[in-house]
Amino acid sequence: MSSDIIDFFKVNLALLQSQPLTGGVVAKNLHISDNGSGELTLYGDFTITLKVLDLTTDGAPNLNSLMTFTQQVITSKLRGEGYQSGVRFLKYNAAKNIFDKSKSWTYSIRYNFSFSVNVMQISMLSQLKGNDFVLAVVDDIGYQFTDQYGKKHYSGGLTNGRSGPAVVSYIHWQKNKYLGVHEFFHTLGLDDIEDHTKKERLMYHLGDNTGQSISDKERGDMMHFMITDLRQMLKGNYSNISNNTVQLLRTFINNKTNGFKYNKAKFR
Amino acid sequence: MVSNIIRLSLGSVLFLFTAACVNKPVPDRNTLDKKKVVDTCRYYRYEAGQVISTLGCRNCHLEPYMELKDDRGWPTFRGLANMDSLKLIDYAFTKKHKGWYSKTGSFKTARMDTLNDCEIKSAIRYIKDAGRNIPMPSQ
Repeated sequence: MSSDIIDFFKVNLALLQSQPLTGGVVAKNLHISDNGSGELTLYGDFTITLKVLDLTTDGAPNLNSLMTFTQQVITSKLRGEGYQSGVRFLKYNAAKNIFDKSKSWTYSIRYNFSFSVNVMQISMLSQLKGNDFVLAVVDDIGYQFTDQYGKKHYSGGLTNGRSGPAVVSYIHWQKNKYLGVHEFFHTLGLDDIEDHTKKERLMYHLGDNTGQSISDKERGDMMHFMITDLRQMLKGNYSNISNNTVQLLRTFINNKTNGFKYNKAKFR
Repeated sequence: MVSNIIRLSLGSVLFLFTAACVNKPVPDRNTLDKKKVVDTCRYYRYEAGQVISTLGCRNCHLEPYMELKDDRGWPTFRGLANMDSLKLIDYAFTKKHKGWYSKTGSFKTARMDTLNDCEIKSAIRYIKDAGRNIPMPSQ
């Protein structure tokens, strides 16, 4: 894959020049430890960057405090080990440090990753690079959704699928401080929960939460999503793939069915 | 004598008429009910996602790549979403995966044929939805 080769050279060139790697996910010191009985422990130092773009008409006076809160919660939710059992993949050969394409194996994986999380404000689209994560703050969202019980809900936040840009309504974010984290965790690959018996979970999205917990499996799923391809663990360093976030955000914001109300003059 | 015969005949007719009415065949409701098939399978995105996560589809079928195949020639998750549903069922659940998920395969503990029809249907829809750019809303 040509984009893979280009990414590989970009990452290594930046490292040779001692430049900071850019992007939503930047990982260094990646390595694997195999206990020989079906358990792999993955190690790495990750920097996660989420860029916040204020598109509100009258400004967002509480934005800084909401961003600080979001950064703290993301950091605390990613802290601790992620765990996945029954992970079916190619067999790891520790001596050669390769995944053997001809053999398959079922592993338990412990994600022993350390995270440094940055939630930073940007004022224009040019500050957004190809593989950045973005959270746009708008006045309101017209999109409505129907839950599995048939009840209609307004949307305080909307995310354009895994790895995609997220949007929150400023008014709703002020009412529910966890909204930014919830949307960002969609970007990191988690799905919404609608089961009324799981209201204590952060990803429960029907508005009457009793808590904001993340399960070990969800943490493991996010960590797996961040590395995307376990073979990246063999390269030592990694920066997430380029998805042209600017173009994705432009398409998402301009999609009339989403009903975003925002200051168009700020979207430049 | 004649009146006795007439009375006996009328009585017999009345008896037969009553008996005929009492033994009137009743439609077999149970048979009809058995023919009715109610679709109890409902799609819950979260549960479908858990099936995909447990099977570990994304370990090999990478996401969020924009390409349909990776450098190994394996379909990405987008590549799976791009497949026709019938081909997808055939690809994922019936013939492919080199027999790894069969009774004797190395992933036999996660045999895909242990999934019920509803779970398979939901998993297929989840994969197809991944290519439809459906936004994830939150209240």
